Amino acid sequence: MHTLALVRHLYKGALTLGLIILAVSCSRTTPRQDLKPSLRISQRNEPADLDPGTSSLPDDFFIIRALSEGLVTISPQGAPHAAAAITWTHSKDEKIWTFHLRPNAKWSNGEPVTAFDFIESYKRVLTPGSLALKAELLFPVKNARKFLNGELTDFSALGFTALDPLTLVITLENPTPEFLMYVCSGVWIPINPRTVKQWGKDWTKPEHFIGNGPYLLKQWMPNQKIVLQQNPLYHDADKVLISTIEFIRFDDAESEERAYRSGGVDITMSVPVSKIPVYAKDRPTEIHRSILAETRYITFNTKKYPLNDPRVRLALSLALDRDKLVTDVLKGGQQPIETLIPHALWSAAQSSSFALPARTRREHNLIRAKQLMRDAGFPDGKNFPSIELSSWTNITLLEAIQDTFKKDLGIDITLNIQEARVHLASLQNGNYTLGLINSIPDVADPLAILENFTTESPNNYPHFSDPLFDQAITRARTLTKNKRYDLLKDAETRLLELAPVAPLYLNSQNWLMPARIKGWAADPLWRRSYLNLEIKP
Amino acid sequence: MLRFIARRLLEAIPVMLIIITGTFFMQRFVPGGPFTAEKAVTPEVLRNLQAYYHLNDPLWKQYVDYVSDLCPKKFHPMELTHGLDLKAAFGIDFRPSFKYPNRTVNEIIADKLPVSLELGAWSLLVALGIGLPLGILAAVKRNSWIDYLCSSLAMSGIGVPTFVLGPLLVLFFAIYLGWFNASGWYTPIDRVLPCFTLGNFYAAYIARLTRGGMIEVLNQDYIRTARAKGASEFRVIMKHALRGGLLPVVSFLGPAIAGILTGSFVIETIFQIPGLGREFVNSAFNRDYTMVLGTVILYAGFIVIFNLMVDVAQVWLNPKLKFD
Repeated sequence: MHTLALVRHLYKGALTLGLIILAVSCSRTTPRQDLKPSLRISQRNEPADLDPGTSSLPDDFFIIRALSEGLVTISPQGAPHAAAAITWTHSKDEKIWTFHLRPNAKWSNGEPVTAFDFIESYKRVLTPGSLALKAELLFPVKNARKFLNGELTDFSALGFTALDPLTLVITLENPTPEFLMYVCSGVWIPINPRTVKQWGKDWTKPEHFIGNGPYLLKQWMPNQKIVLQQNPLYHDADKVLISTIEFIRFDDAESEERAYRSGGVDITMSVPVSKIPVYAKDRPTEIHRSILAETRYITFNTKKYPLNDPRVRLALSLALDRDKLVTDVLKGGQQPIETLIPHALWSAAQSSSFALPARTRREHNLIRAKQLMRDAGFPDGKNFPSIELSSWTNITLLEAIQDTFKKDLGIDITLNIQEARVHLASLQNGNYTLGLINSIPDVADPLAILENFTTESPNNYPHFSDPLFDQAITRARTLTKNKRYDLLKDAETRLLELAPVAPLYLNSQNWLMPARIKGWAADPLWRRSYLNLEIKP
Repeated sequence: MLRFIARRLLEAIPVMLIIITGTFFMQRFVPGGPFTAEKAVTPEVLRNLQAYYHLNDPLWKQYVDYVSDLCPKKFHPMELTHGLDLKAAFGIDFRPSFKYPNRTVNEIIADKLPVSLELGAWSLLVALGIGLPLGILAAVKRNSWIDYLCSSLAMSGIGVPTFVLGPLLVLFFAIYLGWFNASGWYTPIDRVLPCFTLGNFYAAYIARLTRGGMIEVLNQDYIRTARAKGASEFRVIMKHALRGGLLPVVSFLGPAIAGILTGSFVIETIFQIPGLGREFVNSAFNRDYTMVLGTVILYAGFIVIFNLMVDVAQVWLNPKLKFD
């Protein structure tokens, strides 16, 4: 008897469900109309938090930068823009920087934004015990590192001074020509100290969040969507042309693209590689592309035979046909690169003296590569041991590299795809031979990129050590702009000759966005601004 | 029967303990940690993080501390009516998440589990609603064209995996016809495509099992007896045959429910549903130790409970079985 009742219930339930589905689907046969002027942007990574002090991923800052603003922001061309600070000056030795804050700037609870708030924000990031993943971006400031690691306990000894509520003076450890690039990075965005004190780690929840940016945090549905609404107290409210922004969570390019086609999202983060030619042909005004300052390179374990010989490393690097890899294998508009610093991207912001010569032709490179292999004792790959190339992604790229090494140098490599963090751990522990890796700089500072290859750097994946290079970097830190660039240029040239790594290409971003959206600024370091962004009818 | 249930629940305790221990230690031996990143964290901050999350303590101490936080310390099930807070109700503390510093694992589970449960419940209804009638029809009209049609429908359901069916349905119903949203989980209509996709896969199994079970029962003597005493065909099938014919389906439902709950990751990814499946899989990639443990414990608990429920249901359905 029980069974019968159960079965009957199940049938009734199923029948009701069917009827509901039928009723609902009949009642809505037209697609939903967009509510304007609101914008839906794809968010591919759920933000770990919305706290500028502790967040680290660019994806977190997509949202944080709409909610709060630092002293300075940056245009996609690399020029600094006034944000919370309206003007700034620096001393001739590039060590003392003075920022004049906007007199009319307000927090979203109506309090004025003061220089003291900025100092409190930075104190929080640097306080011993801090969980700020990007605290190092404050290290150019005098005594900042010593305070964080407890060598120094008096915060007033640090290089932060508020002359008055609207004047912030920052004294640096060394001359830093790129200091504004640090100031516009995420960790320099202020928090409202009173809010953080009142709510602790819950302050980033929508009911408590206080920011000084163009938007307010209205709703945060983890792994679903984050809704922002225009902040009426923002100082440049007339530049905010969209009332609501929704960041909608997607896991992959395919589901994003399907949602875009059915009108569920306005701006995607990427385009599936197979769909790039389709959009380029059928809807060319909707597919967009920009080059990122992310270098993907092969790192050579310089501690392992036969890669401990710089001639072998350079030969491997020279043998790679980057143009072919990018156009025939990757097909995503990446930019081939043979240097470590993305000169082409940064030249606008930096002096023209800091640029390396154009890339050499590959035929010349290959002749040199073969010669180098002969010199190292491996003519045509003879006696060369079989080595392994590991990665966490891009199997087709790896196969093309494997093929090139076999055909042109006569050497065999095996491929090994690992889970991302397993791969990273093996690179960090030196437990690999050849590895593919991505370098995403935090700031547009050539010194910061080259520093990764100094002996003591934790990001030194090739486990490379060259005293002359280390010395050059140490000296460059003390120099001002032009002298510093000359020295860095030499250091980079030396590094490319010793070839601890083989730079391959700069990553690109492809995305979908209808032509009616104007003012979307793509930035090579993923910094976004939502000002002057508009939807034309 | 109560004794049976109590004994099975007691047996579950060592099972859960083994699962917790295994998960705890296994994930610690996987290379890479929660703070491994392409750009290494400043050493000073890394030390702070490790101290904050007690990762510097000896492993056995971390384990003992974790298990003691986990042990139920109180029993206020009424607290669950305010929200799925296992800490308030039973004192089970899954600790803060490593990946999301402003959320605890308890909060994430309370937020995401209801979504997965809803997805699972509707999918199960779809599975039963499609699978049972197809299976019964196929068994009653055995070896006719109806049987062949139902059976091939079932086979195609098994043959087309959810990650193919889902995008196909989206393509047709959301993009071409515009009836549904391609993704999201906001309105009741957003439930249709994902629940159908997930339910359809299990419907196929249920149809096949029902057909098999029913064919066997329909050949039994007591069915002939029922027919002989003049019961209508409908009554014979629905009352007499179904009870026995459903047995294989019921024993399949235990693992199936667990599978629907734990295996919803693919569906959640295709349709961007904010359920626990995505948290579960992503937590493993993020090395979010507490989140991995929290979800594994929860899923293991579900499997234990559903298996128990299936065993109870089987005794009810099958007069030959007894609780012992």
